[in-house]
Amino acid sequence: MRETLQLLIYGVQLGVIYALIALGYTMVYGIINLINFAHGDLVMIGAFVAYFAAELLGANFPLAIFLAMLIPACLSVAIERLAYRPLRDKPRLSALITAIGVSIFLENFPRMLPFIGPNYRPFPMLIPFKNFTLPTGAVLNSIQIVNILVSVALMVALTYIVHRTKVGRAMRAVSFNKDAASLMGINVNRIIAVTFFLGAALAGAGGVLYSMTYPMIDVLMGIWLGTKAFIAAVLGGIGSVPGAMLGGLIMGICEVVATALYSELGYGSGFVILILILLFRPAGLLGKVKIEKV
Amino acid sequence: MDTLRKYLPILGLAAFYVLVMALRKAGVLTSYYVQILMFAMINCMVTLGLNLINGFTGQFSIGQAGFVAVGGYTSAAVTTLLLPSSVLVPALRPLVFLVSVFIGGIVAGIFGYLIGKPSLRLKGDYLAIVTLAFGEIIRSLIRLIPQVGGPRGFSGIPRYSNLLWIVLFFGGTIWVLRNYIYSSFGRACIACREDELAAGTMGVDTTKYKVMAFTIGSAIAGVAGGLLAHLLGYLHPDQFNYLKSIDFLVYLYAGGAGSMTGSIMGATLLTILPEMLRFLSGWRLVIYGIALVFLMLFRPQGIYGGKELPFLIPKIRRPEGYEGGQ
Amino acid sequence: MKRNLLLSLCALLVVTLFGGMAFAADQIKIGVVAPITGQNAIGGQYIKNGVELAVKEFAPDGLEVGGKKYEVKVIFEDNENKPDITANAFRKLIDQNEVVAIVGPDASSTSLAGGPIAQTAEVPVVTTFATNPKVTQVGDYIFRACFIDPFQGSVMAKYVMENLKATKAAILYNNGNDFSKGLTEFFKQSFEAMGGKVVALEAYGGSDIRDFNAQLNNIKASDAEVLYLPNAFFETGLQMNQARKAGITVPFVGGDGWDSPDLPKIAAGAEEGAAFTAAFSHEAQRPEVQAFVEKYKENYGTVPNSNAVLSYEATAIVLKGLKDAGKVEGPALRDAIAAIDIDLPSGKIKFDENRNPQKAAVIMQFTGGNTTYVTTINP
Repeated sequence: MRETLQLLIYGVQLGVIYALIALGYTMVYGIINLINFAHGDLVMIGAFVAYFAAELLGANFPLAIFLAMLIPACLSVAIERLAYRPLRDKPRLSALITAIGVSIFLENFPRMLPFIGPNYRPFPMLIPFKNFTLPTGAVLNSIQIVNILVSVALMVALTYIVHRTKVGRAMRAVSFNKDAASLMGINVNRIIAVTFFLGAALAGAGGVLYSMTYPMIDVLMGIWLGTKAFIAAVLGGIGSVPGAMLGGLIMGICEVVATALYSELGYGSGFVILILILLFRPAGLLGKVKIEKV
Repeated sequence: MDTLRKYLPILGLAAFYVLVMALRKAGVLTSYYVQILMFAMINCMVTLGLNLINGFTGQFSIGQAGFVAVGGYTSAAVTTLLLPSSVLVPALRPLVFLVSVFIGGIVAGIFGYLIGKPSLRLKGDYLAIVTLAFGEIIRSLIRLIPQVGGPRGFSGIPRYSNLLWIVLFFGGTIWVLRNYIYSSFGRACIACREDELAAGTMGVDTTKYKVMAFTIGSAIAGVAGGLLAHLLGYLHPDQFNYLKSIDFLVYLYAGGAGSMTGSIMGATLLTILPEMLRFLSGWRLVIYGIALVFLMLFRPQGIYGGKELPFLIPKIRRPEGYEGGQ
Repeated sequence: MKRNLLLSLCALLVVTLFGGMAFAADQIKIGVVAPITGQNAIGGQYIKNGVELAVKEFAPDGLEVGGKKYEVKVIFEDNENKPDITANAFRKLIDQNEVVAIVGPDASSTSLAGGPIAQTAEVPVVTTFATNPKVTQVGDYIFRACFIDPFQGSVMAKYVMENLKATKAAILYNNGNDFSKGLTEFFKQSFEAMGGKVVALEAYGGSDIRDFNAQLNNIKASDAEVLYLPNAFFETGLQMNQARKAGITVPFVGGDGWDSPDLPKIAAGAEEGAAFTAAFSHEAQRPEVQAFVEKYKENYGTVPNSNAVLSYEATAIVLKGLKDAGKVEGPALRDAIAAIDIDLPSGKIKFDENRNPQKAAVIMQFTGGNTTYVTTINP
């Protein structure tokens, strides 16, 4: 019992971070059908922003996470404007290649900057660390609690924006049918920019939470994390916001449990689960199968 | 004229080989350049195979490195573990090498079939995800096989590959693909790409052609893997991670999907480019990333998208009195 | 458009063909292959420093070989820590730059890919940190500056048994990394041969993994008395950090991958008292060591780590070899290196018949965020 609960805690803590990052993938894919390869690197940028905010400005946790959401979000809007928008009516995959190009740039350019460089840096403790022992014997720590609370709050906020606000309604409309939405007077370019903004803000927050849990950052940290989150998005049904949340949680928990059972192959477990789910539910857990009309 | 056109690619490759060898002998080309050329041709093969899947059939596979790994490890296992060069008379070695490369291709093809069959029933980017996952699973499995070195890598592979072999296989790949693409099979593939629903209505068994294209593309990647293994003499599972697959995607789309010329150009240029940028040291990949973005912004269809050098299109025989268009 | 494209292609080709053909007669060119980009880029920085320092010291204003003064030119090539790029880097150095010897690379996997090329071209290679025994078995032109996995594994097993008096060990290792896997195997072998028992053997899949909670949970549940972490310093820092947070209290031990001033920063105090094997200690009182550390600090502002020392030593071996050979050519240099006898920071270096250096290992310990020297163990 202690074991199971303990593993569950580890899994959920990892899963909520995957979910935050997966949301950005799923929103961008839902709206312009682009696998945004540079998304993982925005996670890294978020982590670095928080690092510098804390080290240079002495920022506390709320300020650091705010900046870490704001700056990648603006960067993401700029990237969309410069590298993706000109290609929107071009073959779908050319935007994918610019995304890869942007990703290579984001990974390598900071490495050449003298104040960032290739080093692994310790990430500062933004909140005090404390262990709490639960009645069952499992241990829960303060960082895990903050992770889960912040992630859940952000996801609730996002769900509110998507379902209860005008912008959210416009986002859903654009993702459903761009041309029709534009005919209804929706500024499609602006809505797509908003989507990139929101997705990157969540990625930045994910970057901070991830770096607090595993307190080390470097310029390549986004690659693998991004891939995992992307897989989580697909698992939940790419294009679906609740799907990304569920997918992230499942990925996190499965990975931790599989690693505990057989660590030699644990890290590949996410992929195996993905293949199994896609075989039975091709559109992912909460994805809708699009019916094609002629 | 027709005969000339038919044999032009073969003559071209032969001339290319002779030219390279002559320059090599004259000391203009060092083995450094020859090695880059060999890597470029191997990358071309993988990209051409990927082009059949992504460019001509309109599917989206992003795990090609996994098939290169399967082919490379399989053929290296044949020449290193099963029939090591020490037990062979020298005359037999090229034969064993040839057979091993084909076995590598066949095994990669079988893997391709097994993966393609269930996932190609679906539309959309699912193949992408499944192939990505496959690549990573293969990599973690190879690490657990001590006979092929596990995480220490597979060393001591006889270095049988040379320019001649690679040119031959490269030419063979072009020949096979050219004939395939301009056959009724190829037309069925292109039909799937253009409109799967319409193709199905016209009686094209879309799943069959998609699986076939995927299997052939994977087999070609496997053959390229076999050549790579015997060129490097060493394989490491991390060589085939998903970043490597992304490289092939970049070669394909930068060169231009749906064009064999494009694949060859993309793979060749982008294999050579990072080597040429060596003098930039750490800035190399920064420039590479920017170059990629600009290339796509100014030529979204890729360098040679949709077009083809004439000698890569076989002459189509028309029945007597045929007057229609292409 | 089409014509322009073909034209630019031709231009590219011409540039590639004739670039880098310039050549000077009284230069000795030494190639260095190291990761300048990619996952190990930080190691590359230390290697660069080490090599430059060695040249500054052993050939301050050129090197006299066979009565003739040569300028020493070092050419760095990036290998991105990838085998195929390493093969290209080796080819370029050998064919384009016509180097007389190659220092590096720093990993077994890349050394195994580059080795055969240098062997056929008869260019001696001194790898810095390739610890897999197979590396030098490629051929008689391949040497290494570090000691090999089996030695390091058995040294640590002995230390755990005798000094820590522990008989039950847990191991957490990177099963995608040859260095980590090698140390694990040899540690386990020696430890069990001495009567110890490995009670938990947990793996993870690569350097990009940051979450070790599941493995540590299993280790916590075992009755291990010591935790062996034969991993790179940045992975180890996180592992120690997470282990202490998860409530694991047993001491940590590890290998020379730990030797970096960044480890204690990442581990944030969790490393206190942890001991590891290394080729060199900047605290050892031998004058060669102190002189080296002083010089390194003076030039680069930090204390050197194993990467820096090993690349310094590898370069020193090549330069001394050239002097001894009296000729600037591969085969003579090879023979000179094989017979070398030189005093370096990590001790007197001589190569055995497998071209592995006979050098002692030191045990180091983290105290108060710094490494301190514990003891030296001779082979």
